[in-house]
Amino acid sequence: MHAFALLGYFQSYQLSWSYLFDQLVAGVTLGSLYGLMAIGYSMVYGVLKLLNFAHGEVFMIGAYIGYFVLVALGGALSPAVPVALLIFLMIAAAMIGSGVLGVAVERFAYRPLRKARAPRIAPLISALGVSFCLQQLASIFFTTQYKQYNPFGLSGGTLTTPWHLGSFEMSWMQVFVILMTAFFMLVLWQLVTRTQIGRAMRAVSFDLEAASMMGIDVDRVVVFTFFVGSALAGAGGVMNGLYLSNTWPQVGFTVGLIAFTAAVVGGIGSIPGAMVGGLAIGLLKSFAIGYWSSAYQDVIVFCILILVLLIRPSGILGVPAPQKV
Amino acid sequence: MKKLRAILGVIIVLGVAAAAASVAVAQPGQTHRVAAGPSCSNATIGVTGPFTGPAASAGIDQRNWADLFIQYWNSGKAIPGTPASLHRVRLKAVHADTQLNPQVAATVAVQLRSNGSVVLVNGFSGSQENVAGGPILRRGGLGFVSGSATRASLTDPSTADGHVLSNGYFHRVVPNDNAQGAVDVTFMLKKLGIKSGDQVMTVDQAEAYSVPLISLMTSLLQKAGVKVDRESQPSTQTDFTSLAQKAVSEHAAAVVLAGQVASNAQLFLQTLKSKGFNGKWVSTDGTFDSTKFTVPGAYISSFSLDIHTVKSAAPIVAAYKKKFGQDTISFGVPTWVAVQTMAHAISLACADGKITRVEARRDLDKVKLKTSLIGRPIAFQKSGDVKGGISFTIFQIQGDGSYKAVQAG
Repeated sequence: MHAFALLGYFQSYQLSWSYLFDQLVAGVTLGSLYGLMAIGYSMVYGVLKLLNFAHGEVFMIGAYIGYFVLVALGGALSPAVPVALLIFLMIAAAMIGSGVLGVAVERFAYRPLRKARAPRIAPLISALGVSFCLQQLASIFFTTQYKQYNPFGLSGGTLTTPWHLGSFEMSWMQVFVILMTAFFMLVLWQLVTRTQIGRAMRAVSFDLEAASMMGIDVDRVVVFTFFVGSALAGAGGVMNGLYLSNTWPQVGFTVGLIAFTAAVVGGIGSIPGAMVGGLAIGLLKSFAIGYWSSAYQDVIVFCILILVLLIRPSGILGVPAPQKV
Repeated sequence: MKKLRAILGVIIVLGVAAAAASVAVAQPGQTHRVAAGPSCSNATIGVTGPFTGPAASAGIDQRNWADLFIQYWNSGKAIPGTPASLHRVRLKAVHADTQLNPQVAATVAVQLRSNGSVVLVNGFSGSQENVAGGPILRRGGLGFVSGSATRASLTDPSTADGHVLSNGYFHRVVPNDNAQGAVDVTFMLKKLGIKSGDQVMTVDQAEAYSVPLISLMTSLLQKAGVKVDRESQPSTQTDFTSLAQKAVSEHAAAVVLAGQVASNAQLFLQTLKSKGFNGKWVSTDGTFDSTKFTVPGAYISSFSLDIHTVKSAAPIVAAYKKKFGQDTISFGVPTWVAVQTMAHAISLACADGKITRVEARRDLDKVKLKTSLIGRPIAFQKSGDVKGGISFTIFQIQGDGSYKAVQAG
């Protein structure tokens, strides 16, 4: 009886499978972007137990690099190279640029504090400082005007025009974002589980000092971690621009807060957890808008997330930290 | 090695600081402190606006119109509404960028208040900026005239905003949002064919400008029997996919967006169209930007008229194009009128050869322009609004992305 009353709340279109599918796809796409960024937070925290708040700005710089490559190659309406190559070059440039930036941030803002055995709060403040510095520098050098990727103009709009499978629909851009995220996840997973540097990362994550005593070059592992996490953020920045069109100096801060939440909810330090957290937030947002009201989206999302953390304080896939006595 | 690192570190820090400083210096019209007091030989006015940031194209248009007016005024050229017999006190502008950010506006207000030579201020552009910076200007005794702040409460003394800002300090030469909401809804009902029983989605951007405006429009539409799905999405959240899907699925005959980021309007409407939306689109003056919002068919309301359609303004529009190397988007036209009222007030105050902020502010209320560039007389009510009121103009985006007035204000 209550179920029927509840169903009466919804409009008829909201109870159709096609509408459910649309919201699902929108949520998975958005969640993929959050997840890709959340991985960077999680990786750095896993290795250094550091909340790298500058990660959002690395994402933002990646989005700008992609934008400038797009403009340099003729823009969305008249690209000088095939669209596939254009997108590849945008992502590659952003990954390299963001990766290098991430390493530079670690080298100049975090490592000296780590070497000086500064209290844990010091690198946190250093991270916030880098975050605001990068935002301000972006405002000065790129201006605070929104830069538009104009994905609707790419390839005559075919990438954003939905294609239909029966009553279900999806755009190539959504497919692209989801598949690229899956690809990056797969590569990262292989890297972490199947390579020597991946094993070193896991060892450092487990116990930094012990790993160091076992002959692992911790600095090299940290640099690699920052490079990979930042490169993924750069790729995320470009995909965010391609999917949501706009980039501006605060874009990383806004998305970063949600991605950080995703990392915590998924279980900070866990790479699959970050992705699960990202997808959870993306889906919750999408369903909150689609089935209730956009005005309450953050209320709904964060109430549910608080509930999840109350039940599982270490996050969905997180491992409870051992208490040392 | 450590010394080398330290030296390198210092060089990098100095380099970044020098680069930032050079950029700051290169930006025209930065505010600066001037020790001298007000002068009738070269009166200084503050010209504020979002010269950078998401609303920069609108702010730059405003700054251009202010500068053009001052050029016309100082060179003695004919100005609509200014009698040839009026003694013109030479004007000098101090520009200040507010970025459409209340915190920045408050900082700018402190700078202008401290600048003893400033007698009146043009601005602020955004309503939220007036709420933040207005009380600071007021404490400095400065009157200010906005060419774009439309929030109704700014001139309503029964509200908190109006209580602080009115009483002769805040003035504006544009209509308020009550007028905008009414004009937009009437246009939708009478011209776009929206009727009782139709579904309409209204969306605000969760900030002080758009929430009351969309609330008003929602209420007016509901009174007309229209079914309204009221939505709200912060301007920093640019994924409109779910909202667009909802609008299409509920067969919305129209989507209304109130916001201050034109590129969000562009993205939202593009997303709607990609989902097969074929209803009407109406957005408010905050999205008026022909460089960022260019989807053909969309309707946008604006407190400014299309200056290109005013024949008598043609020479001034041509002068604008020549001086700034680009055409105006019309957004800044009321700023010309705002600065004109300030110029007249300063001339009135300087009749005895001396001027104070108090005199200039009080004389704003004595200004009576028989006509103006926007084609109507201008005089202020006690509240700071224009006597007789002004209406909004509705524009439609054309196939080439240009804006064409389809309903005059």
